[in-house]
Amino acid sequence: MKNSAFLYFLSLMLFKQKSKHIGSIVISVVLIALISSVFFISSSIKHSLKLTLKTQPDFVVTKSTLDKSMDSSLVEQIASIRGVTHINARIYGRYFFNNKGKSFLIVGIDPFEESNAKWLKSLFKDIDIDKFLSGEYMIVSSQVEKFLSAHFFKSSYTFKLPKGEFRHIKIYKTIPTQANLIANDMILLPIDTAKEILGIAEDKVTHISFDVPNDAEWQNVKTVLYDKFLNINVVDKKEISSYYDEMFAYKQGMFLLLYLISLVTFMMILYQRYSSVYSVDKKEIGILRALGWSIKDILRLKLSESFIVAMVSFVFGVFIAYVYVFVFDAPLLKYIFFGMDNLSVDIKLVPYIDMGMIVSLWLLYTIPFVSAILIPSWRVATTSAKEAMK
Amino acid sequence: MIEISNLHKTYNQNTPNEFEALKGVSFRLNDKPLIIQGISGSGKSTLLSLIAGFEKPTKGKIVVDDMLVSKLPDLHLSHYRATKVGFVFQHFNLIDSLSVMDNVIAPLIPIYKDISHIKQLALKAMQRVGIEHKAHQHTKDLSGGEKQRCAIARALVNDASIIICDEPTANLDSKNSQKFIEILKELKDDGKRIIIATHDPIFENLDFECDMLRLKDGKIEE
Amino acid sequence: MHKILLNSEVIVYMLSQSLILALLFIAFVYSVIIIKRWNFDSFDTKQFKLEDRSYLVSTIIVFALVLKSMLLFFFVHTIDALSEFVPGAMCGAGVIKANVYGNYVLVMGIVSVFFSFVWMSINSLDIKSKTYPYMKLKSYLFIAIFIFIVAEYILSWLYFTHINTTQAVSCCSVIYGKVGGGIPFGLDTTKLLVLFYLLFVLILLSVWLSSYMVTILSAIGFLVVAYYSVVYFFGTYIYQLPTHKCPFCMMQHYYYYVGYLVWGLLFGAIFLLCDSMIMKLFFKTHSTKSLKASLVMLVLFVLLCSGYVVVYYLKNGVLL
Repeated sequence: MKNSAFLYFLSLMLFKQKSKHIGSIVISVVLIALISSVFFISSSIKHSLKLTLKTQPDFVVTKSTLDKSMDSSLVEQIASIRGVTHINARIYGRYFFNNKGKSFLIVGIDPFEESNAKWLKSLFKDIDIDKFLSGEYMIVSSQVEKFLSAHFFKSSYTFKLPKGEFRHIKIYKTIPTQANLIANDMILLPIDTAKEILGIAEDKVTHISFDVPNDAEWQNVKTVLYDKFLNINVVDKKEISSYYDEMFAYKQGMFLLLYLISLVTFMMILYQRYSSVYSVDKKEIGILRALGWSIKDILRLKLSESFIVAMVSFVFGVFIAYVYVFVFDAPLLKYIFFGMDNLSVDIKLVPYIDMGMIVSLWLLYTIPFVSAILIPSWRVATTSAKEAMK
Repeated sequence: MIEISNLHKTYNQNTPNEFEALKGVSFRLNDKPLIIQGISGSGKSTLLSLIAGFEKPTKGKIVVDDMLVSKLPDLHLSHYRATKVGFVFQHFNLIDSLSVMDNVIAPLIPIYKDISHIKQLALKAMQRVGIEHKAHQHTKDLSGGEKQRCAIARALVNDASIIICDEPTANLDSKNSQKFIEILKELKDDGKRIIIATHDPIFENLDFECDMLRLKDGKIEE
Repeated sequence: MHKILLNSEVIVYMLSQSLILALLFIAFVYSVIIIKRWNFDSFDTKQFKLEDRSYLVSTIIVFALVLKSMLLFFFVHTIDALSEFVPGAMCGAGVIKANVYGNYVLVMGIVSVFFSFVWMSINSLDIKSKTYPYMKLKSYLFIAIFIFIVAEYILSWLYFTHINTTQAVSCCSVIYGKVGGGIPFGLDTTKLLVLFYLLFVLILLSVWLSSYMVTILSAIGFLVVAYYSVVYFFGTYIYQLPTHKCPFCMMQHYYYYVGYLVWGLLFGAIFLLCDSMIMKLFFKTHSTKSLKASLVMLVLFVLLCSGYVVVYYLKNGVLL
């Protein structure tokens, strides 16, 4: 095999002197694993959110004033606009569990409405809608169930209504953890029960959602809504998608900027380390030079050594990040992207990695690495052959 | 033929530590081995390192087989060292972390691409000096005489036409020194040009013809 | 602006460019010293040190060239990623036109990579000779390249800091559609394709006949014609849509990133070809390796582009 001689000698030097490289490999692996984990978490959550978004309605209308309730007659008025389909009214509100300052997101839905029924059936195959509608039952997220259980509410909870009454509601079903991305602190109730608990009048709603199948009409529909109704806020799916993109890009970018500080420190450490390692090597390199190795040959040897060290570190680092994020669900780090102020987050991170991300990670690590060792490598390569005689 | 003309070498030029190691050395090397004698600091090692192409002179010419060695750029000078010169160092200068075989193949890596061919050449060189049975042993575990033979095998592996030895017997006992002289005679008979820098008196009573050169204070002593 | 500058790809891109520039600055300083003090006939220690330093310069430039070539592709990937934040942009085409600097950054990147290739060829020749005959020429050339790279770097900052995320840009269908401008010199698709294949054959002929100047000129002509051919004809077969004309969309995953291959083969072929012709014309050296590589890449490029058309025709029985 051509070049087998060089590769043979390269592997000799690497394996015989592996202790020299252990330090830089360890630090490299840690750094790569850290930044790769952040990238993986970010892209996984973003991807899952976007997938979830696909099942959500195209538009959501809310009130822009302090009083969030809208007249339910608005529903028919909006339904009459050309292009609007699958209109659905919901109640959203926060219920505070006073002891710990934690809150639940109360979502009131009409379970017989088509899209709601579909969604519920997709979550629970054997759901009995009538039972759920009876007003005695609620569907909660796994984190809500855990929280209630920890506060001695095993299979039900007594809500304190705004007028001072109490309402005892049993847990019917628990939302599977896959949906925790958007449903982490959610309690699903029939719309009327939700209105009672949140103290919203019978003829009011807080959210009106609908679809507009024709993309081209989205702008029109928005304009009509803003013209027709005062004090409303109309958010479409694309805006939410952009918002996710920006938020994740922002968080990832901020982390990356801070990470650059450790990267620069790492480069300085590498530069110092290889300068001193190579100065110990001087005699050996002097011998090779005396035996007929040119500066170019030594440079090739040293840079190849460093490149292999960099690649090995990169592969290990990315692998460790993958296991940390997708097998162990990224304990601690994932809170960069979720808040810690309400209930703790329990979601399964789904692997989603694209080539662009791997290339970014590779460039982020390899370029600083090679930049840092370039000058020390050259310095040792220009060792005079006379060194061998000293 | 090796021709040295008006060779000067100054270290630490333009500094207070400036030191002229060679002050105009000229001679011609023919077929006979050359023994360079002189006390420490006379310029022997400097002369050897210049002829071997380890460094460049400050002034003067070194012509080896019609090639002006003294002013070659690194790529060519390294190629000259790799193909024409076999150097035996005073302290052997073996790479401790490598085996005998790996030390011997080191000069051939820049020249040949095929490792099996290189290993064959290395084996031949090791057989020549009788050290092939230690091929896979680490050099740090060898005796003085074995290290010397390993160093010689490394100097011979590229079939160099010039063999240069710097105080080759300084770290050997008399038995191994005698063995070294025998190897030298064989190399001379093979047509190699030999240059030895030494102040070992054993070289004053050799049973084959040599040229002698005495250096003092960087100049040839007449 | 913060949305753009906090984007991970932009951070990685600008960090890489900054590091490369820092190293190239060191090479620049030594090149200036070499120009001032180089004297091969001198036996001074300073001259020997300068010879050693010239290795640092060449190592840095080789390293920078390899990375800048990769960063060219990464730049395209970056602007594609930014299309999520620039309203109206569906791919890099819209983002690159977000301000006046975009196209300059891309073109300057391509040109600096090309001249770095030429520098490397001259350097290879120089270190193989016995007297470093091209040392000063190399150094002057590198200084010119360095100034170019500094300009590219400044323009990159200007570009990224002036991308407006609130103002809509045109998407590729507008930029490259009938409204945008279309094929220049009044050519239609048929004439463009005839020119495309003619120039391809002319390149092969001129190489065979060792007509170096003709090769260079036809290569440059081919580069221009090939660009328009890919955008206005071959690309439509990659997208399988006669109205989709865009040089950037084909680099997205929907099309299996084939755009990187298409543009990589084209630019690689033309760079290597022009480089080997320059070496033959001005330095009288023959590098069969790079000439062969360039021709292989050129043929692969033409086959790849034509392949999409042939496959489409075979599958559907008609052309778009």
